[in-house]
Amino acid sequence: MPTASQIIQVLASIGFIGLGVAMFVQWWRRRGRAEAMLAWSLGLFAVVAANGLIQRVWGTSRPLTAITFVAFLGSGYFVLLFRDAFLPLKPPIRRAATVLLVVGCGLGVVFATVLSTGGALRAGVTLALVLTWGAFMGEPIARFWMASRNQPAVQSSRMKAFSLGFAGLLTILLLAVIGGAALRSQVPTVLLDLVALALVPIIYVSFAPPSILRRIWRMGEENELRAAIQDLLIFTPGPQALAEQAIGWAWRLTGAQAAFLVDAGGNIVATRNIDRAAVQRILEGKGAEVRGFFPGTEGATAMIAPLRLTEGTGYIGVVAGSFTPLFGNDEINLLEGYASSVAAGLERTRVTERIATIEKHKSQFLNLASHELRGPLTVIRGYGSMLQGGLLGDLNERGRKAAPVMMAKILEMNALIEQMIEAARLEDGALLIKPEEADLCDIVTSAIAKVEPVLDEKHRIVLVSPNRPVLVMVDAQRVQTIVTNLIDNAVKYSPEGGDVTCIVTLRGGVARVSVKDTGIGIAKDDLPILFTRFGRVSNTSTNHFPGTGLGLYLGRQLARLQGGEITVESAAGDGSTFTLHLPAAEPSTGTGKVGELSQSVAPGGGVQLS
Amino acid sequence: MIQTSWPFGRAWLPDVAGTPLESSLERDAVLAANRPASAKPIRVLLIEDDATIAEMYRVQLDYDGYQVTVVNTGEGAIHALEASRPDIILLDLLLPDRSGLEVMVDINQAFSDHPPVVILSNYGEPTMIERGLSLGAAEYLVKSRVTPDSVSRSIPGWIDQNSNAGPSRND
Repeated sequence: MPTASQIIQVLASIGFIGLGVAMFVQWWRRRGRAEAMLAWSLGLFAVVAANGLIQRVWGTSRPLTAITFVAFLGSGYFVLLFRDAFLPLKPPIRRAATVLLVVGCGLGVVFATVLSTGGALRAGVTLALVLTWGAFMGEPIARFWMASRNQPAVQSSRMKAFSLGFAGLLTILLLAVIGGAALRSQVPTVLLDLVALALVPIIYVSFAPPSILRRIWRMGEENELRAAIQDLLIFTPGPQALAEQAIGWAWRLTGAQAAFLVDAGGNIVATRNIDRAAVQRILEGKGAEVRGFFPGTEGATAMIAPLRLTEGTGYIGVVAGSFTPLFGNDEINLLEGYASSVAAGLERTRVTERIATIEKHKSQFLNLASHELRGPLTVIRGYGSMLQGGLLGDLNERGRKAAPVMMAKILEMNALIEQMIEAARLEDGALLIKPEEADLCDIVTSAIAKVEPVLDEKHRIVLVSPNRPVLVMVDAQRVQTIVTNLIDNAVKYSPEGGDVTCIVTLRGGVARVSVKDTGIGIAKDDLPILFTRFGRVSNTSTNHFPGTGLGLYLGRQLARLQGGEITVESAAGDGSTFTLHLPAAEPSTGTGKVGELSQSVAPGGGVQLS
Repeated sequence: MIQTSWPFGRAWLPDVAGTPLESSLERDAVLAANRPASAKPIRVLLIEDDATIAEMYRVQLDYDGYQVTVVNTGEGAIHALEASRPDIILLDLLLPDRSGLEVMVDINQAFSDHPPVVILSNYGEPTMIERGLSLGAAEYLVKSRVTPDSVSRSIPGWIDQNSNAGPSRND
């Protein structure tokens, strides 16, 4: 009647034999050096386990004991070589290990076949054997544990399982040898056997984790991945940076050894842990396929998913490493889903980059064109004024009529160029604002005074302002420019004539100038484009109004630079009210209520101010 | 003063450079009118590489009775100043051999009591204006914003201002 301990021991032995077989099958499937080393290590350990079973049934035999010793030492030695497959050992250490193996095996065989068994000697020799085994195993166990830290989740978990499994084996063997009589009793023996049995699956998952386990291991990373995809889509570094980031995640996500990204033109954009020649070979190997598993480097599998870009199909690929051999349906679905996000990100960076380039060219063009236009205009204006001034000879009557028109148009053009330069300066960040305390009423008054001389008979400007100063901290010159522009627009877009009312108010720490007209108004749909650069409302009723469409854009930008804003209320055919808001200077003179208003109206452009 | 029937553009007529000009026009006109006909003509050194612009200014300044010398390089300007001393220097900033600002530095070093320098440039960047004025320019004008006529009428004022303030004005 076998005891529980015996049953567990048998099960553990069968488990380890199974491990060895499984590992050989794996090696047979994937011919890598690391796989070979691991197969030999676990295979030899299976021999130890099998011998144990045989001797349990048929009694001890010296040759079998000798084989057990050799196989046992060999299993440790191959773990060291397995480690060597990742991180090559220094040659002296390898040589020393080989010498230790040979000497250990020799002594083991001699001991097993020649010397008598039993007693202290046997215990000593067994201890020496386990210590030698530990010498082979100790370093790889520690190394894998430490190296697992910076690995993708799946890889990290597998390396930890490997370390844990072999560390457990080593501990059990040491306890069994050192513990001696103390561990012979029933309970500790059963416990040790149970632990040994538990180590079988742990070691197994270290080289062949089932997909459910892979999914669990990856879960944490997938949350990170979601955040990363969001980053990829929202933040838009250049395509290169995005590609590097993308393969970093692909690598991590699939626990791969290497990763690469190829654009639609077949150019290798980014690589990780793999050289370009190797990527090229993988691409050639895959032929016309866009998705699937292909031969990778050194017998490893490469997994490729398509990046569907506007210009064509690119690829994101990962290559399994010696320690990450498992690419299954789960992984390729994951990679494909990820690839579509990466493709979206790449598309976005491409568009963003193009827009940025266009914007830059626009600014450069604006700057260049405006400065280049100044030269010829200088001469035209200069001679124009001489012509008009009679310096170049007397003009006949027709000439005397034409000259002022020509000069007026030259000044218009000059003003447009100045606007373009101001806009270019704004975009270069070269525009300097010099704030000082000023009375907004004064600013509006001088703006009106600037427009007034050129006002026609049809329009009149009305100023409504409080009886006391409305102090603001602004660049007075530029605020005057903004207000003048608003008044100019009000006049321009009320071709039938009428009042343009300027209302200055101070309320809740905000100073405002509203410029109200009774003109053609602006359709609701057109409001958003008003303040964009070159954004002019263009339809049959406005096309005959000259202008660059820069005025309101500049106005709003200038207002914002000073902590203010321009807003608009309008409806088609119903006039418009543009309001410039500016922060009032401290201490606020406002009491939350508009002060007494004084109103002055000057018909025909004459403005009287009280 | 020319008035345009379209007021829109006037809003952006900049006042960064050239502001004092308009305000001093009348005074300058008076000064020019009061200039005794028998007095020696005012000598103007125009440093300008654009032949068209140089010629245009020469036409105006000749007409107004100035004695104009035109040079088109920074080197030429130094030679001209070594040969004879004008009453005012009109300086372009974009010259073939070096920048006008460098010419100003040279003039400041070589001729401590040089006549007033008025910069006439195509560039109106505030930084350029500041730099020009800090080097001691009596005025910084953007060419497209002024006419030869207005410049001509302002010349006596600049000379006057310079002789009152002294040549080493730095602000």
